[in-house]
Amino acid sequence: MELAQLSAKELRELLDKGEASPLEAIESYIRRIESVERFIGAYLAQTLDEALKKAKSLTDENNPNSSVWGLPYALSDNICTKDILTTASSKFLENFVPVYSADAYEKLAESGAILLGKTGLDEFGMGESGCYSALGSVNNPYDSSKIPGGSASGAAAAVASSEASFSLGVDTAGSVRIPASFCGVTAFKPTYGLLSRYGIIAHSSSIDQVGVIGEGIADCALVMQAISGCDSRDSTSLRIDPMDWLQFSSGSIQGMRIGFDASAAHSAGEESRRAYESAIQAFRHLGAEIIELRLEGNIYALAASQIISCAEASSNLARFDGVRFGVRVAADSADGTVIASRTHGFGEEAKNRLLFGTFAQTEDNYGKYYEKALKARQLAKSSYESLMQQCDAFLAPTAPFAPLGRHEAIEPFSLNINTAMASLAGAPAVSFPAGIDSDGMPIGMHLSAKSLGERELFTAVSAFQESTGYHKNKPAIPRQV
Amino acid sequence: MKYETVIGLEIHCELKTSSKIFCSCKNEFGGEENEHTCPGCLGMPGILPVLNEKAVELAVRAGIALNCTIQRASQFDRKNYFYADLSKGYQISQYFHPICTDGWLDIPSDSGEQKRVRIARIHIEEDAGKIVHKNGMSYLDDNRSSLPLIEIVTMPDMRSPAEAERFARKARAILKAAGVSDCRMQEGSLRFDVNLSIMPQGSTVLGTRTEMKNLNSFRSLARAAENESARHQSVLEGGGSLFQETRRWDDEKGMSFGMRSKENAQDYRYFPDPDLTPIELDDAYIENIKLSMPELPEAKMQRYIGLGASEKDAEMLSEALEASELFEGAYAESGNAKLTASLITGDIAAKVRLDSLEGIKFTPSDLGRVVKMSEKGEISLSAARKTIAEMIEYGGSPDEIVKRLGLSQISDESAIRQIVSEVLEANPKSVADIKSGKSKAIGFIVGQAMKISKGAANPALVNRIIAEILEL
Repeated sequence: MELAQLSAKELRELLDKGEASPLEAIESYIRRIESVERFIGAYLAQTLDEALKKAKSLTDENNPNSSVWGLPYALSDNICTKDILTTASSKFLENFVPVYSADAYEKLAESGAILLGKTGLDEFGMGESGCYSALGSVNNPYDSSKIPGGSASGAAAAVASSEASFSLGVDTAGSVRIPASFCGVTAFKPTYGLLSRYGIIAHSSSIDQVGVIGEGIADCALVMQAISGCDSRDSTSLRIDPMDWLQFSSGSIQGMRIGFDASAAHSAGEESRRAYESAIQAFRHLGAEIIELRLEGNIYALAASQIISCAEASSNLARFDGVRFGVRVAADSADGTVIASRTHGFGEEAKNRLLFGTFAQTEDNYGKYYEKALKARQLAKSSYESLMQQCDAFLAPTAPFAPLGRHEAIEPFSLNINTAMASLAGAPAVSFPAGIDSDGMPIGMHLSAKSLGERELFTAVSAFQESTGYHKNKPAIPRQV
Repeated sequence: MKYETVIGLEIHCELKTSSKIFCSCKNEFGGEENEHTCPGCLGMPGILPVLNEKAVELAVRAGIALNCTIQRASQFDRKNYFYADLSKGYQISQYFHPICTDGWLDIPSDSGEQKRVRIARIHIEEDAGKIVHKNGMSYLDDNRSSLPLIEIVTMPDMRSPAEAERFARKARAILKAAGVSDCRMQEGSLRFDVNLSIMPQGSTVLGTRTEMKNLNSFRSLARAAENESARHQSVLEGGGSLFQETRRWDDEKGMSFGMRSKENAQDYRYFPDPDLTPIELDDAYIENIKLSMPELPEAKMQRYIGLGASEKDAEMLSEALEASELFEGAYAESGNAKLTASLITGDIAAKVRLDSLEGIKFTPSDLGRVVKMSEKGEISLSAARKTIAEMIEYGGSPDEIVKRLGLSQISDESAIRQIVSEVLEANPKSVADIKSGKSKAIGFIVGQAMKISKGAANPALVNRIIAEILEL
């Protein structure tokens, strides 16, 4: 049995009992990466030598009591790692080696988790398809002709292809949940402020949140136990008492109110609709009270998230001007150099979004677009909150349609229709596998709760996964036809 | 046609904190290029701003000192523009909700009576870095990047360059006294933007306004305003028309140059900064700052007048923080406010700038000691002046200087009686003149006595003894 085939939780139990060592785990992952990475392309850079060194050095004083001790993992490449290349999949940062580490990476390193490498994403996190990396594309482990979903495509693909026991990505309007849905793994986006944004290359500061990807929700809980907590380096970090994540993933959901809205699966296709219905049935059998609700405001939430995320990105990425970082295309004036550098340095999708975001914030358009988006955000937030007064968690398909072919046209932002609302409300959400369609592609379901409603969320998804086992499904790589 | 000049000021003032506004780098002038930098103020991706609370406190102090309403809730916004000295590609400022609003400051108007200049707002922002051009290349120095600033924006209430200068001087004195800033103009910690327009005398319709940025002395502020006002007038009188623009004042050439017009004006795309939570202040916080406010120039002036200083001296001292500290220390020793104050505003001000007292080598109590010696008749007033001049130049203790220069005044009655007797004996004609009522001759005798004593005799005593001997 290859250790790499185990979930993080299963591996952690073997390490705990002394039945496997961190070194054996790393060696297994290295074998796995060597055999399948060429079909997947999840990693932009691997840190296997360092990983081996770290595995060898993990001894008792390296905190073997931590929930992630000895676990090999991957980080999306928009999470800064000191002395390790961090590119955000952009030409601008192709050679950027930060002199600081993201809070989440620091905590994982201290807890004895072992970094395998940095995974690809849509440039600066801008994309839902996973097709907009400037530095190498990621394949869907279930079918390389299909999109992996984005933006944290590599982080999801690495876990799906057993090339990492867990991974971290950054979720804006669905950036860990969409690829998790398309790649058949579980992704958790916490309440805004629960994880520090320190060292995260910002895309949309008011929405960005580090997300955790694992085989199942129990794996996410192990990781959250190690990385959550207040960080004084992030002013939006929540000042709250630490939660006991390991307690969240067990317990009964008897009487828990789970809401659904049949219309949420309207465009999702017959198979996704059936998966939705059967997920509802599964929760009912587990003792949840199923409540039919009307989801309102998600269209506005989607529009607001587009405007806000693009506008914030246009400001966050203004520092890439040809003066300080990476790409510099000199022209005969200072302004000319900025224009030439940015024209050359950003990819097409990034440029579309930066232009759109800039447009929405000009003096003439601020009232027409940006201010309205802020109002729409408030409306979406309050309509989400009132939805959450009627239920403990709300269920919907994660994506409105199955993974498209790589070359099929995709309406920008359309994939986020069911994920954007929780993002704008700052609320926690999980995407988890809920079946396989007739093309052999995974179907993901999305469960979200009120802000800081993580306990309900983890308990519900955990119960679902223990009873259905969908999350245990693995792709055959390369795909057997 | 007679025109009236209309001026509004924007004052940028660096706050006296020990670290920068959003990171823990030192707030210190000078140092090696980029010595005081970190990933945060260099604009590296992933680093977040964390607000320095001292900057908020100092901004609130400025607001209280300038009679503003302190807002219970304010918020940081991003001002977006591309410029090489702007490390993040945006400046964190306060646009929509500044921390202080609706203040005022009274200044003497040109016609002599007090006039009130309204202050629209004070907001907190971060400074940009500096571009250094040398050897045909351009370099960046980010030591200044992210230093804490406040910007004070007045209404267009000043009616001449002189009024603008008066406002600027008074504002500076207040900001220094309130402990908000060092206001070192040569280090750029206080800079002015002048918004100026002219209109026909008596009109109430403001003319087209132009802006001159980054003036860093009172002199260039006044000159730039004079020059710009004259330029407006000559354009209008020549039948031309003005357009709204930003101009750069060249202090060496004594003229301004157009930089950009309104049509090319930047669109800063302000929006609330999502990395920072709103600043929320409660009444207790503001009340605490009010209670701990240092004494401001106005109150100080009144107090000095109460102690006996002349109105003019009291005003001068209260407006220069360093001079007022010197005065207070010297007065504690001397107990004579009038003389202490006049020596500072006269003898000392002639040699050293009162608003810095840079390089003085004596302590306030040294000065107090000099005043006290003069008061007690141990030295004459002119000896006191000599002693002070010596102290300014070389330092040293007053007693030692008085001794070394032989300035101590002879107040020994028998010694003086001896000298006076000698003088009277040697000048029988003068004695006769005095006796016959020509009192002018007394002056001659006093002069001779002073001459013999090398100026050390106490003149009052000399006069009294003459009168005694001649039984006048």
